[in-house]
Amino acid sequence: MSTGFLLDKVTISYGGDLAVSEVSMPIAEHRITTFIGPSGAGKTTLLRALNRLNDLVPEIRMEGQISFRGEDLYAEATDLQQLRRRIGMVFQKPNVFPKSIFDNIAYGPRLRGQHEGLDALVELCLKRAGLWNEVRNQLSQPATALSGGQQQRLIIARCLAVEPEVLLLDEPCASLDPVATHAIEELMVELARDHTLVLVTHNLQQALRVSDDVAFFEAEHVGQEVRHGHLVEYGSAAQVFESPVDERTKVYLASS
Amino acid sequence: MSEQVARTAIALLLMLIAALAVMTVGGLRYRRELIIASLRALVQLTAVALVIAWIFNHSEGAFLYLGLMLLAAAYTANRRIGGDWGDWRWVLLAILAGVAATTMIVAATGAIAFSPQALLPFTAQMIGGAMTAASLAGVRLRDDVRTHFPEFEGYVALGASARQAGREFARHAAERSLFTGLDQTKSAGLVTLPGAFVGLLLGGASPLLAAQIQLLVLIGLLLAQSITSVITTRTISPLHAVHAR
Repeated sequence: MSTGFLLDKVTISYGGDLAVSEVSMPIAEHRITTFIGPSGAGKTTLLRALNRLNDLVPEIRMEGQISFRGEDLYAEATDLQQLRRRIGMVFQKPNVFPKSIFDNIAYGPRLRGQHEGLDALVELCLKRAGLWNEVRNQLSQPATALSGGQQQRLIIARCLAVEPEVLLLDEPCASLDPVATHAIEELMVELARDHTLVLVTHNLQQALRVSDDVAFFEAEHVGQEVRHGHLVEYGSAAQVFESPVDERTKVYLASS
Repeated sequence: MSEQVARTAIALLLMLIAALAVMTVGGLRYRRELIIASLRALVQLTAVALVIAWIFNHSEGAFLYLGLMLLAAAYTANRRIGGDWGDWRWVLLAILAGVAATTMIVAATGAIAFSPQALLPFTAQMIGGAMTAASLAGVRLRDDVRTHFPEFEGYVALGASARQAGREFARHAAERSLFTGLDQTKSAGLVTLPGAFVGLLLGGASPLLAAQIQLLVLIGLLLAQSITSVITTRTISPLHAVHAR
């Protein structure tokens, strides 16, 4: 089991307010690592730091170090476009582009200059996302006409088209029904064979079903209103769910 | 000449007093602003008239005047957009390209005489129109990106730079920035009599000549604004306070 990401004392603040502080943990390759914890614990903020999507929000500042395969992601020389292709992102709400199903998937490859073999690539990605049989005859139709579950699988297919090594998934089933959720969960387990997956979820049953490793974050109150997250416990899913070490983890799991 | 100036002064004074009286009777505020605005217009137009009169006799001054106007237009549009120094250069290029293309066509075809008297007012009008188009296009681009930020993030997450992602919103923003000019052109002569047309008639030109010049201005503005909008929306950063890497 090799280490993919290594987080060292990662502290992220938003406009001067702490969002998450002093997180140090490894994230293993080719496994599903899940961030769990209450709202406001900084899970999504931390996830977005892994492919530097937080850079789009100038108020967000990060201290500490995040490396991937030994490479400092926040080094001055980091090529952000390439980094984000290597580390893909699936958002909470499926953000399909107002384009056809085909063009949604072809966007990434075209961006990096690929214009040949797109038919085969689109078919392959849709098959891997388990969507091909449902949409094979409507590739030129608007992606916005798909159901929520189909849209989320399309987003995953879109990510796969740029051949990422990692997939970051921010509550990908939050807006989906149980059937669609089941399909996405099966897909995640399948993808973990040759990708590293980092998942944020509030659904502990889902975390239990799909995770290899689990990190529990707690939202610490400062004063009455302001709060920020920090890592309480990290370990294999079996260890965290069956025999958590920290009392706060036990309380959270028991109350959820 | 001096008699005409006196008559103009009397007419201006009467209209100003009447406007103030109506505002007072109607209980409207902003009377002070009315006076200030009128005085500003008087000072600015007199100064511009003197400068242009000088330029008509010293044609080399036209370049300086138009250059300064271009810089001011780019500055004004970029401030409205909320752009930084990097954006300002693109906005300047966008306005320059729109204005240059239009002016070169009318000058090369001889539709407008190649003289400061004819080209200066035409070019100045193109700069004003292009400035408006740059402002509208840039503001709308950034509004659209803000409104559809999840979509924007989707492009960036696939490896697009912020500018590349912004281009997905550029066409729509550029289109909408042209609506005012298109409406102005469509309604010319029906709903309003455009400025150049009125000015030429008042100056004693024939209605047909006035219409001819006005058409050159209106269609010229459409060209200048199209070029400016397209370049602006494809080059400026689509985000405020950029981390546009």
